[in-house]
Amino acid sequence: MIAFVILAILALGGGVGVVVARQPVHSALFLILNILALAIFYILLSAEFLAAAQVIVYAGAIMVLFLFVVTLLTAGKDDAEPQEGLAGQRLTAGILAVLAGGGLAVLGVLYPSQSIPFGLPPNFGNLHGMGLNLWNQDFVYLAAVALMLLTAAIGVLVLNRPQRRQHRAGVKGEDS
Amino acid sequence: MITQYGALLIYVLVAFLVAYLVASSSQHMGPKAPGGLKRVTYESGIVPEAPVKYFSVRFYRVAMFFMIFDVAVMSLYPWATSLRSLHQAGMLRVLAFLAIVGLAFFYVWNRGGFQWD
Amino acid sequence: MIVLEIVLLVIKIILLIAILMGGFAYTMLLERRLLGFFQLRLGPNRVGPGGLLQPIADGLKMVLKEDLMPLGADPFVYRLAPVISLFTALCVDAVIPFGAPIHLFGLTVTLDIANPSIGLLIAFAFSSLGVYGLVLGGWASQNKYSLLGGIRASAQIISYELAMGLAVMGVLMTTHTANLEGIVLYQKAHGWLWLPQIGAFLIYFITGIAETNRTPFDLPEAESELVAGYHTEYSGMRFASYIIAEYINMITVSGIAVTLFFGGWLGPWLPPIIWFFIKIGIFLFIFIWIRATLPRFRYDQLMNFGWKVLVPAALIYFLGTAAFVSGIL
Repeated sequence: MIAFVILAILALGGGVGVVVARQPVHSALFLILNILALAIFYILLSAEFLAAAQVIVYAGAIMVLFLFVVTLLTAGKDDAEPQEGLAGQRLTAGILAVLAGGGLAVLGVLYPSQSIPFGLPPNFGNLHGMGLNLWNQDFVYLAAVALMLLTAAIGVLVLNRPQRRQHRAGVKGEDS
Repeated sequence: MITQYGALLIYVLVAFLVAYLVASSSQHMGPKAPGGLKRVTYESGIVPEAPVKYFSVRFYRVAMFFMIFDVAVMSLYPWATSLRSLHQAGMLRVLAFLAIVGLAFFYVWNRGGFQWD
Repeated sequence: MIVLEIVLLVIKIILLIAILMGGFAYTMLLERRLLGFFQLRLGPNRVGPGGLLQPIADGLKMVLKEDLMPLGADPFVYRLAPVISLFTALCVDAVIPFGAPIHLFGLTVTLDIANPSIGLLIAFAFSSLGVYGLVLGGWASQNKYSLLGGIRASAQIISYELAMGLAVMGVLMTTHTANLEGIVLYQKAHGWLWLPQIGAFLIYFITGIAETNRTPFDLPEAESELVAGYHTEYSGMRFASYIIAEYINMITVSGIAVTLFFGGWLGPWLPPIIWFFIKIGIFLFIFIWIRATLPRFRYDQLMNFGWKVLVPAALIYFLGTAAFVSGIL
């Protein structure tokens, strides 16, 4: 319980920090704090593999991509901050966030412990349990994940097309 | 299990403290003699002008492809450790999974997504 | 009993950090002396007998340097980045078993800080956090070369991480566990894994060199084009933290390679922990030997090699091992 409270404060602090921080790199750092706190939550719930996957995929891959974008955005700090396009978007977003979070909390209090009707399989947290469940009866979900990854790869190439081959002969080996 | 991670947590906290003390030690013990051009960034003797404004988009492309295929590799770890219990059926399933992900890999390859030119 | 366990844990933590720091200091000395011999000169041999006190002199020199921060740098991120680098390097070693469990006062003491069932993944998780030290350090320095070095380093590390993950998978399939102690015990019963997993081992070692940014993959600190990469603007112990992290990462990569492929602490006659250190020493020598021998890759060659050679090769070896283990072959 004490661990839960400390971690909840850490995770919430990280979440609030993401929104409040002025500097985008600080926002990214707060998001990493949030992700790490969630990973420790998973360990407390004895979902070890999920914790490792959370750190490796979210903190190790997705946040690195975020940081690439953010360091690019803020590398030249001399630009004055442009005027916000959408007036009042912060207020609207805040109200929506409070409504969504409050709604979830109310639902959680009104319908307690009806979420897992069939119980947890044994060893659900570690690699063996995950493997036996995920690669047997739940393989459909993994296939869906694979299809999603295929779509994502195609999407990246559509949005961000590399130069065609004929351009390659020109300046080869020149670094950015 | 919790005791294992408790020990790990204590070690992680100690390691952070040690890393902080090591990294900040010359801030406390070193001399302080401000002045001159010490705090100007070193760019091979040329006076730095504007900071970097843009970067090659290839770095983002690499990061995105890594993100995509890292998810695939992560979902293979549970499979690898329980392959003994999954037998041939597990092998067929992984072949199906890798066929889809491999299609993505070779599509990206064919379109020059991995070409660093 | 619980008090005894806590005391043992504290001793283990202090010992591990002391071993890593001392290992860093003397790996650095070994590297400088060996590079000297490779280049037909002597290397540092003036401080103490045979230069053995050189690391202490270097450390004192580093501590007594002025701590500089470039103008316009973000102070918090600038100070945090080297801490992250060193911290993650120290953390990875927590799950590596340094020796066989020993029996002391009726307790069984494992020679690692923690021994979770997913030990290898915990190690990978910590090492994947190490990227932040480089990219944040490069960003916070407000220097073109630092930023380019940091971005290059992280792009290189993430490109080689995929091949590393696939290469390690073969060991997990064969041993049926991701627990590092379990992997060593499997090798005790069934023989060391480097021969059946020779392809996976070679791919792992190549990616390991790339992940630690060592020659021939030291593009992030290519001094001929980037001054010194992400740590150009750092001075004193902050600069030293990056170097310490690099050498500890070398020790870690060697330690994981020894554990996965070369039987960990196993070996005849000598005590287990001595065997572990001997094997790590051989790997460190190979690291230094490679540095003295090979020139640096070009960046496009490096990225193409990672994505177009190592990942397919690791995948083919992975499928071969899988077919063998699952009983299709």
